[in-house]
Amino acid sequence: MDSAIATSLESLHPDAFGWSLHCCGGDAGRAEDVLQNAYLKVAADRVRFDGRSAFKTWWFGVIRFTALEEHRRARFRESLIGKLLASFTEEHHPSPSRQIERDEQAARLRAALEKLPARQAEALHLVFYQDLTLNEAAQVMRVTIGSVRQHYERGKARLRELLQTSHDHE
Amino acid sequence: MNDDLKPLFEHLRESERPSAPAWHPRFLRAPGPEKARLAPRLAFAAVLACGAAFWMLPQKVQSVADLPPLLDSEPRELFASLDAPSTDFLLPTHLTIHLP
Repeated sequence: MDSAIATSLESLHPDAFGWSLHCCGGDAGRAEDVLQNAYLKVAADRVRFDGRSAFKTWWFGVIRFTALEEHRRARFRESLIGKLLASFTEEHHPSPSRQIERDEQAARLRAALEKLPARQAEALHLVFYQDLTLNEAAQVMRVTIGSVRQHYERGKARLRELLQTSHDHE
Repeated sequence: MNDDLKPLFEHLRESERPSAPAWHPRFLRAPGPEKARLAPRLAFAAVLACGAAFWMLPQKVQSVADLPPLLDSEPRELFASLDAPSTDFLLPTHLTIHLP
């Protein structure tokens, strides 16, 4: 593998985990699996950076697609096994992400993001958390710039409402 | 304009960073020498081999007529060899065999 690619992946690793965590709805265990599978795709040459976009944009697109694949697989497993297991074990385990969200403000933001439509939350995460431009976010999400701008603006408005509501309830 | 949201996301980012698994070069190590891909091929080959072996087994006999003869000797009189016994002194009288 190209050492420049390896260096880029290493420097993006923490942010890539943050994006993977977002794509997995805050499930840290699943986010790690997704990221690992995305790395395997690169290592096995199943995906290749062709230089048509920024490396970060391309890499986040790979993670997003891998998360979607994992989500489909998980849904299949849950449909067969999950229900069976649930009938045996009644106790509820909080997700690892909940345990790490010690900070109240971060927890409130995550809760608000979860209430947003997925596309709006994605757009906000890519722009505010990952510092991507709207154009880059559109490439990661595989939608037009107009569409991502709409998700971004509506997402911001809705997020402000949700944060205000949760603040008023305290 | 986004001054209210940006710091919140920054804060979220900072709180999530420590939970990221540590970077390790093994993340970018290619999978082993086809081990995972060989397993289904081997299983398929084993199924084919079993099928071929079953196909080559001798066919079952369908009727009694197809069975090989159990006794293949020439027909002859029963107890013919007892016509001229050398002696019968060991036999009790009630067990003496009377040949037709």
